[in-house]
Amino acid sequence: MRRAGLVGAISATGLALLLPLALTQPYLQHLLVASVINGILAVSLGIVIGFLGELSLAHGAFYGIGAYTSALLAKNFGVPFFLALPAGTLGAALTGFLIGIPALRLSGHYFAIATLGFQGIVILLITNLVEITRGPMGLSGIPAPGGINLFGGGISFQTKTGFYCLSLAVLLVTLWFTYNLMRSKFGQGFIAIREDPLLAASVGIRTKRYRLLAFCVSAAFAGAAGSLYAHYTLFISPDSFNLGESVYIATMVIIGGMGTISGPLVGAVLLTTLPEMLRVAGGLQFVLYGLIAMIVVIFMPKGIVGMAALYLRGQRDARIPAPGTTPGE
Amino acid sequence: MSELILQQIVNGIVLGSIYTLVALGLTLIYGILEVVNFAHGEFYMFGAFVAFLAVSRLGMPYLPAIAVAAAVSAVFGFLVERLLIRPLIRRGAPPINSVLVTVSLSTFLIGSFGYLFGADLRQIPSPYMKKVIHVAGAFLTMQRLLVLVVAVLLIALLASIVKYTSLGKQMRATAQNIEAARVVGIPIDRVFSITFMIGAALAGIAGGLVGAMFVVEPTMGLQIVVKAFIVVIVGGIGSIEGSIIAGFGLALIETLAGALLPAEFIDIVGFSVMIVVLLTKPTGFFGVKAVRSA
Amino acid sequence: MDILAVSNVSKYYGGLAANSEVTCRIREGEIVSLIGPNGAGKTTLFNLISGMEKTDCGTIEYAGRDIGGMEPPEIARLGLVRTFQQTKIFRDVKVKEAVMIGRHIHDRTGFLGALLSSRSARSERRSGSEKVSEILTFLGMSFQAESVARNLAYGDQKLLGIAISLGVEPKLLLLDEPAAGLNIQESARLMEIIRKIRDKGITIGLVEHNMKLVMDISDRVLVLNYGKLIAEGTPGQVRKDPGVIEAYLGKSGNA
Repeated sequence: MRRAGLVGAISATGLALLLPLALTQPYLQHLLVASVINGILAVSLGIVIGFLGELSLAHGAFYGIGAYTSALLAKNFGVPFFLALPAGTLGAALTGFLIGIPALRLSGHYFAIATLGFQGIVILLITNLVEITRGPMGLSGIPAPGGINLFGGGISFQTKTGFYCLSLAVLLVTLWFTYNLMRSKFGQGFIAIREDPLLAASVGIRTKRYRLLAFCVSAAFAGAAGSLYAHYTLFISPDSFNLGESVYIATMVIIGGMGTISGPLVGAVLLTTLPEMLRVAGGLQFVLYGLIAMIVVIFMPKGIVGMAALYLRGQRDARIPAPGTTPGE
Repeated sequence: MSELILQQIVNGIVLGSIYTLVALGLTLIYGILEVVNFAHGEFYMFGAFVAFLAVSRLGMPYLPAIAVAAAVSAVFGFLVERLLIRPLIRRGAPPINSVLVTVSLSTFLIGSFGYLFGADLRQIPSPYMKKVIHVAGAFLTMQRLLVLVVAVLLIALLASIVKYTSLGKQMRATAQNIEAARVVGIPIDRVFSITFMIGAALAGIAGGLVGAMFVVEPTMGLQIVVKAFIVVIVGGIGSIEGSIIAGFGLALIETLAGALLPAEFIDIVGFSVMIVVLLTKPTGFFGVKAVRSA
Repeated sequence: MDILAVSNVSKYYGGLAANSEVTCRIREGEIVSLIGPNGAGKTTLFNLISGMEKTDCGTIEYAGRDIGGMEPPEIARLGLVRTFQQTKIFRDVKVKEAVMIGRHIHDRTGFLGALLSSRSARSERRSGSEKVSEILTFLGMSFQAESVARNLAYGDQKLLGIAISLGVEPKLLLLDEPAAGLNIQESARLMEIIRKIRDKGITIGLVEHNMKLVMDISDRVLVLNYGKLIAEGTPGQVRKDPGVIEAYLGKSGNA
């Protein structure tokens, strides 16, 4: 079972690496990069929504903190990208810690509202500390990362394909860390807390610490995504990190499937590429996203990935009924 | 100087009327259904668009258009409750689901109205915008006075319904304890629907009123709903008095401080107050709901 | 040696005393039952001891340590574990996974190790699984290891609750109405299991209404009524105590 998962992961990675060769138009390659960055955002938010069972509306803020931290360090202090990225990640994690300590005292609706408030405060601060962030005018002239020499050849990160590989690497690290975390005692703790916080506490799980940990990890990855975004588009402004962005990422997680690691990734890829696939634009894609998300929440809370898993399990059960068991058990 | 202060107070009272109307619906819905309606700003936006269409496409006069906006918003609220909220309640789904569904509804509505109406700027034509009156040195358009009058009337109406009618009694009982209310035979389903209809109507009317003063556009609900949340949290979930006091209070603080500080910092103050209240007295100053925290 | 010492503990809700100056102790290796009419404050006392609620006055000492201000996870980590009146189990996971969650504090994996899925992380998981099997065998639940918790019969769910708390490796186990809703065979099985647990060196405190169970299994019985401790002694002594009889039967002799 685990071997199958590993094989699947490696093949998927291989496939992903080959995609830029097939999709050569710049716009499609741009979509690849965008899908990966959104993937990192969705998977990281998925930790909070799926495994802690809470809706955080502050993810856009962490995304933005990562972006601005990384961009400002690179632009004003000449920090190379490979240090700016971790700096952005840390900055977001720290913000997650500061916001998490008060916010996680609450849960359910109150927690969501508190994150809404913090999201607003962060964006207002970014917008208004104009001397530092250039506010609504945005920060331009962000240096792009150079490139690396790998196995004798070089990859330039200043091409879309090169940056895609870079982002893919970050996504893979995110997925790997998340997967390990969820299989570890920490992931088990998160699930226990989500299912029954009182029972979890009664077996010694330090609910407060764990929730804070999950929140910070989630924020950290969002910060990494922010750094990638900043050094890709080379221009950032507060509008990209506002409440609308938080909601957009949450929608990806909902549609793709909460409670799994691959679900949010599927949701991210889908929502990023859907406008292109269906040739919809002009706001119509949000109509679709909202509609699908509502349907998912009401009818299929496990999202697309959940439905697929159920379908596959049903197929398998139909084909091979084990002796003595009831089919579909 | 005192004229400036008076002007700000007058502006604050008008702004407070809007905040209160929107917050009342939000607080009732949460108090009675235990659902946080993250799409409440879109009810406001919906009402504004309906009023706009009634006036500009159907040629209705302004005041009847507001009434139409109220009615259509109420129907819309009914549909939302029945189609989206009721299935979740019936399933006993955890609270996060109603949050997720209303957030998705918000995305859907903003997207739909954006697609249907585009980015054009529009405003509801109202005869009251043209006349200006003086009150002890402060200026008000008739429209603003209308906002105040309508708000006061609606608040009084709502308060009377809640206090004196049997429906109001049912609403209060349900807000206290849904299960107990069900057990004593209160028609919970009907109470839920009516609450949503009232909430949507109030927000829709507010939207119609504001739509004559400012721009009607698909994202207009986002800024207002954030204020409404602040009002509801500070005033107390489920508390009508709380919404009134916090609604006018927040508006007055904003307009008075706005004369001194830049507007953006006012917003930060609002958020910060909300967060402080959430952490220290989450039931707000007048609320009665207990917090469910980890 | 006293494993638990409760001194003058009171808890008020509004003006009402749920627990009033309760003083009692549990000695190591005992099975002590806490009985009393409904509303006497038994579960409140458990809540105070396990840290879910804070006392208004009095002290609670566990293994010589004042645990008065501690949070429930910290108290559990010291070896004081309680079960719940409403059957609390992790409903959507398999039985063996639920017990694994109970073993949580014994997994020493650090955060970094978990992120990187280090060798120690994996070996911790493996040894945890072995312990889980031991617990399930001990309770006679091995054949249910793969079942989803919510699908178990009621009696088995209650047993699962106990299995989860055994995962913590408690020294003092507080069982809140473990026999509630159990039929005669299930109650007998429960008695067996409680004895087996005690034989393993775990001290047991019980809140119970099932008098047969209480009288058969307890070394000592504590009786609460209206928040006060009204009697204490061996089952035989308590059964004959007039105060206890009155508390249960009422002054006019109504059952």
